[in-house]
Amino acid sequence: MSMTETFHDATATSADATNKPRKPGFVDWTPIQYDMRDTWFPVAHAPHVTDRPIRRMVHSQAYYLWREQGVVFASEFPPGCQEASRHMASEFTGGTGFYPVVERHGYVWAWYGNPDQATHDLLPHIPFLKRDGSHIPNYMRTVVRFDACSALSVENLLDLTHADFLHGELVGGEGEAKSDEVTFEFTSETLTRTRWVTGKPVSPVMRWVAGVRAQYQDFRSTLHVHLRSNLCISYPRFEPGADVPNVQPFVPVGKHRSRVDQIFNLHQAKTPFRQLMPQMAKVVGPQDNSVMRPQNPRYLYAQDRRDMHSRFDAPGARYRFLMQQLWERQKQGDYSYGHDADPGGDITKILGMDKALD
Amino acid sequence: MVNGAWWPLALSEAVPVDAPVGVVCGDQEFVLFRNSQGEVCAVEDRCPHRRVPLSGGKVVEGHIRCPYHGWTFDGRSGACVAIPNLSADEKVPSSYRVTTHVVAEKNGFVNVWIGEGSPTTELPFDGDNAQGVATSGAGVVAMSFPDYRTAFIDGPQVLIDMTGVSFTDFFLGDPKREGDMLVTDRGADWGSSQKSASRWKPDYPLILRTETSLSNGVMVVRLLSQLETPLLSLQLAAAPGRRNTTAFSWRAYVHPEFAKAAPLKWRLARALGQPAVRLTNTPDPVEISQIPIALSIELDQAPALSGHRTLVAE
Repeated sequence: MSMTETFHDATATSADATNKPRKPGFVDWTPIQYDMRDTWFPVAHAPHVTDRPIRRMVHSQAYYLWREQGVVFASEFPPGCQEASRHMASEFTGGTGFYPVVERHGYVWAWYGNPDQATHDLLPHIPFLKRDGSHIPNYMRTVVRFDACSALSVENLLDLTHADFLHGELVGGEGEAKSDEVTFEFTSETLTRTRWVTGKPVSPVMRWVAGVRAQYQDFRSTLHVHLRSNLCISYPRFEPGADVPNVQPFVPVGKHRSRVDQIFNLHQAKTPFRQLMPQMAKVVGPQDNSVMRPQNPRYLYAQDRRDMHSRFDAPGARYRFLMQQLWERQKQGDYSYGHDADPGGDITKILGMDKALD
Repeated sequence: MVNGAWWPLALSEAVPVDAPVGVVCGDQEFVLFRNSQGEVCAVEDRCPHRRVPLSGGKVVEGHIRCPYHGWTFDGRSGACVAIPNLSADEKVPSSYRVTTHVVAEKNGFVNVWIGEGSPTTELPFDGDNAQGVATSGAGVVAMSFPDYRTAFIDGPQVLIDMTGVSFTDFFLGDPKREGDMLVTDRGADWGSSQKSASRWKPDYPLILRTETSLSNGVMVVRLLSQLETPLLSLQLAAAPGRRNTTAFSWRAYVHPEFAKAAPLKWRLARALGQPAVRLTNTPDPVEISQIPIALSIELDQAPALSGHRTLVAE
């Protein structure tokens, strides 16, 4: 069963909000330690996997990807080395050297965990991308590298108020808006955050690239997060303006770095916004890294001080709690999915869409 | 109880009116900025919201604003005065604050009190009657703070270039304790700063005096005449940086007497705009390794630097 909470108050924390020593039972947020298993990761854009092998990393585990006559393979070892290296094959491939792999929604997905538990039912549903990956032009794909662990990168996306300051000249409007509300829903495996903003000054990118002439616009942004993989499915809707649905899979390369192979669906948007919007990642990415890069080392070890929160952090606080709970289960060897979770379930309505593409 | 001390961590002019400056002293990170009255403030360089360095942010109406989500803090009280995306009728909890530090700006330096105890009224370089034309600078050296300090005492010539002055390592007596300063004298002569002065000269016309604080990173160099008339003063403030580096800032004064005492060649160099003093960011590692351990052994006899064991290798 999912739960919905709406926060309108200025604070979402306990009274212990100062720099006092932590109370017994306080568990600091150390996301770099989390190594969640039994999940699919979109390890590459499908067109990037060709007959020339490429290498990706997930939680420091190597994934070699290549095609033979169009069929994709994912292995712990470079092609041609499987037999010689089989004795070194890990539990992640069940001793075969090959990971479970599948193509869907324009990505190559590989399984991280016990290969016997890999099932296509657990592949996330992305209603604005065709299941067969068609109709995704190259300009709607980007690659962004983040200088932080994947969980901190997801937090960056969960609290979009940072966009007013970090990406101000792109997104614009430092804090100004007529209203700004945040709600969230969650299961044991997912978190969905929705933010409604009204009366926000039109951002530069909307004005000069999307051609919005109004002075103010409203936007509704829904972000659906799969906790184990930190796959983020985002549906921002600007009025006046355009919808900018996109997928940001924050693949955990290791403790200090994560990688996003992002796909947009901008078929409803006008030129040149359609072509240029994905390129904004080249501006936004370095801006995010300017804070996340020094931030990451400060979450390496548990500290005595709680982070402070505003109401905009309610989804983020819940995200931390859910991740900590999931991690505790996995540390005990329980990699099962909760009975309330349906990671492959249809999220069309959750994202506020009328219908899926497929 | 661990005694605290004032640490000069920046030149006054290094802290502008409209931007924050991050500084480090050992394992502590501070951000310095000026409030709307122009007074310098020092707070922990860590936003209590999501731990991002505040030094990457902005100074807005005399407050420090985090670059990430715009949380804004008062530099004196540390109170969070704004969380920008909140509506006008939403209050910021009064308990939300950043850690503040006692700071004092005097004698051309911004000083932060680090450690226990109440800050003293005496600040670094108080009573230092340096006068004359001043130059200044700052830098970082790939040397640990303890090594920088001992190199300063035993071989200042590898760190400091005093144009037109040759240092020697002929120590004039043994180090003396004057308050919390370790004072050493050595001979010096007019000549190339790249070479040591001749050992055969009967008397050196100059004295190079170093004064090293035993409680913080203050180091002073005085070039004196043989009769101890001050000719040049160098006020140096060093602090342990990250990864075993040392950050330093300095101000040098060329006294009016210097021009009278200096040879023509030195005066011409000044007229041509050559600096009187330079401190290097990249001291020659071979030269450093060849400095014999001498006067700095007196540091072993002195108490540990303010009890901050992360600042001084024991």
